[in-house]
Amino acid sequence: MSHAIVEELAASGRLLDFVGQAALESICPLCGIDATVLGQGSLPWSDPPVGIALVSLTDTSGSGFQAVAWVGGSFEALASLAEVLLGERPAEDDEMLQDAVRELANIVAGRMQERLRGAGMALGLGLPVYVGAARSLNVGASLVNGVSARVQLDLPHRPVLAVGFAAKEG
Amino acid sequence: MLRVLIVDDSRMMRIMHARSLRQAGYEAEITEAGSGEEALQLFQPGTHDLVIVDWNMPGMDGVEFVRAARERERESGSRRTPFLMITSQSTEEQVYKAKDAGVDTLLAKPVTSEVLAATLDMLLTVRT
Repeated sequence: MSHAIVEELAASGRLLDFVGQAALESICPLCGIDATVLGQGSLPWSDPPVGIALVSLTDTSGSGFQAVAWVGGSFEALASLAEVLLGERPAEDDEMLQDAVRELANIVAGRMQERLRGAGMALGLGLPVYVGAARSLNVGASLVNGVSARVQLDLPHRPVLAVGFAAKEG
Repeated sequence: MLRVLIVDDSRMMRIMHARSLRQAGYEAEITEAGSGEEALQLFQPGTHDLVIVDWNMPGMDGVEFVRAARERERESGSRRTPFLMITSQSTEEQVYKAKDAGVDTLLAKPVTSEVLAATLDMLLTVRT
């Protein structure tokens, strides 16, 4: 049932709208900057994110359905985001960089939870996790029926984040 | 000077809440906890003017912490501390569950300093 809803939302383009709105509602007030949804990215990724924070969403009715929401990007893009939030630019292995991306993914997942409830899905949120480099490839390969939106931040060098939602195989 | 306990597993969010309090015009003496368990060790009934707490945390979550803290307040006969939950979860059921545990107000992240200021003005005025 939930897989069918996500499939229908993805096919109709509504899932991209949901993800785009969730991204803007999360990024703009949190960071105090503007952002623009450029369009849809590829899934599985053709250009894997260097770092990605993921939040699992699980059907609360116990059907076993699982989905994931994420925020990822290049180190430059993630560091630009973190710099706005922290007031200083973090290094690639800085725990605060991961913390910032995890927290943004958590907020995006909450906004997606709210929208999908309106579409008939009751989902509970897990804790955000951050994975880097090669592991993000494995994540991309396990996702089905989802979308990845390219979200440009109104910051110097116009960094672009990948923000998305997809059902997991199973 | 407001005595505030901020409970969030994200250090960045603890920093941002403290910054928002300052931007909202509140002078605050802040104590931080990174988990529900740590918060429960720090929470002494009657010693904080405000508790800001996240919901989703590893181990004891925010709702479990609030429930335990309210129980401690009842046992001690202490005054009721305002609990503000700032969380990414904000469905109707979740708001009900949080209020049932003893949360006074729940705000969905992200919260701007303007919204935080208005909420604190209301929460702290009601109390006085």
